[in-house]
Amino acid sequence: MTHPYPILLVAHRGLGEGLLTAAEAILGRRPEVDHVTNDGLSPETLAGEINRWLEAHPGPVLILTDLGFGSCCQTARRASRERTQVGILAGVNLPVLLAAVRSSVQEDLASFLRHLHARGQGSVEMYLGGEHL
Amino acid sequence: MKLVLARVDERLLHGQVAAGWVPILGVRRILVADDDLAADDWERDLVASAAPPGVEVEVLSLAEAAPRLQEPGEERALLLVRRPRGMLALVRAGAPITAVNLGGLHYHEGARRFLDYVFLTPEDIEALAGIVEHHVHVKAQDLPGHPGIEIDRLLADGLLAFDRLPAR
Repeated sequence: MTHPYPILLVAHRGLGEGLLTAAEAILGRRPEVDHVTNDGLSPETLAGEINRWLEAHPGPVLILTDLGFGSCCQTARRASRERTQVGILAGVNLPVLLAAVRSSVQEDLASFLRHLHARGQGSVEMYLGGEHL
Repeated sequence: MKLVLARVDERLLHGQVAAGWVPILGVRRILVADDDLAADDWERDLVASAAPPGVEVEVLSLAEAAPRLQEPGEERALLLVRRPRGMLALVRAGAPITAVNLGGLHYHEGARRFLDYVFLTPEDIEALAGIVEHHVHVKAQDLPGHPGIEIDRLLADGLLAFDRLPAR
C-alpha cells in the first residue's frame, strides 16, 4: 500500500489554512497536511517550527511554500540545507496542493517535485473574452 | 549609489521588501549588510536568489557596506540590516544614511512589544537612540501606505522606554 509524502505547508497569513479549506471542499476530506505561517514569527522561531516538523518526519518529505523570494521559502531552504530528503516547491497553488496529496513515497522525490512544478505551471492559464489564449 | 531606503528588518530581503518597497521606490540595487550571511557563500546565493526581477543584490559585511554606500552614483539602492545595532554601526562608520525605516522585528525572548511588527530589547532601544543622536530620522513603517510611527519623536519625549512596553 502506498502513502503520500508527509507534507508541510509554510505560507503567509491565512494562505495555508485557506488552501487546506479549499482542498477539503474539493476532496471531501481535509488533506493530511501540516501547516505553519510566518505571521508574527521571527526567522529563528519559524525555523524552529520547521525543524521540529522535520525531526518528527525523518524520511523523504515535501514542503510547499508560497513566494519563492519570501521568508517562508528562505527559512524552509535554510532548514533543509544538507537534508537531501527534503523537497521544497515554492509558488504553491490549489492544483499543486491537490497533486501533492496524491503523491506516493514510492516515487523518486526529485522526479515528483518536477511533476509538481509542471503541474503548477500548467495550471496557470489565460482566457480573453472567454477564449483560451 | 543613491540610497532611497535604509531598513532594519530581521527577515532582510523578503516579501514585504521585494513586493512592497522595491517597486514603489524604483529600487535597482539591494545591499544586504550582515556579517553572518556575508561569510557564507550558500547564504549569499540564497539571498541573491530572492532578488526581484531587474534588481541586483549584494550581500556585504557591515565593514564592507559602509564604504560601498559612500560610492557616488545615481543608482537607486535599498539597504537592509538585521537589527538596529547594525544600522548604528553603519551610521557611525560614515555611511550616508539620513533616515532609517524600522520594519519587522518580531517577538523573541527578552523583547517587548512596541508595535505588532516591532518587538524591542533594551539593546535595540539604545541603538535606535544612538542612531537618532547622529541626526538620523527614524520611523517605524512595515509597508508603503501604512502609517509610520516617528521613533525619534517618541525617544525625545521619553515615550519609548523598555520599562514602558508591554511584554507581548
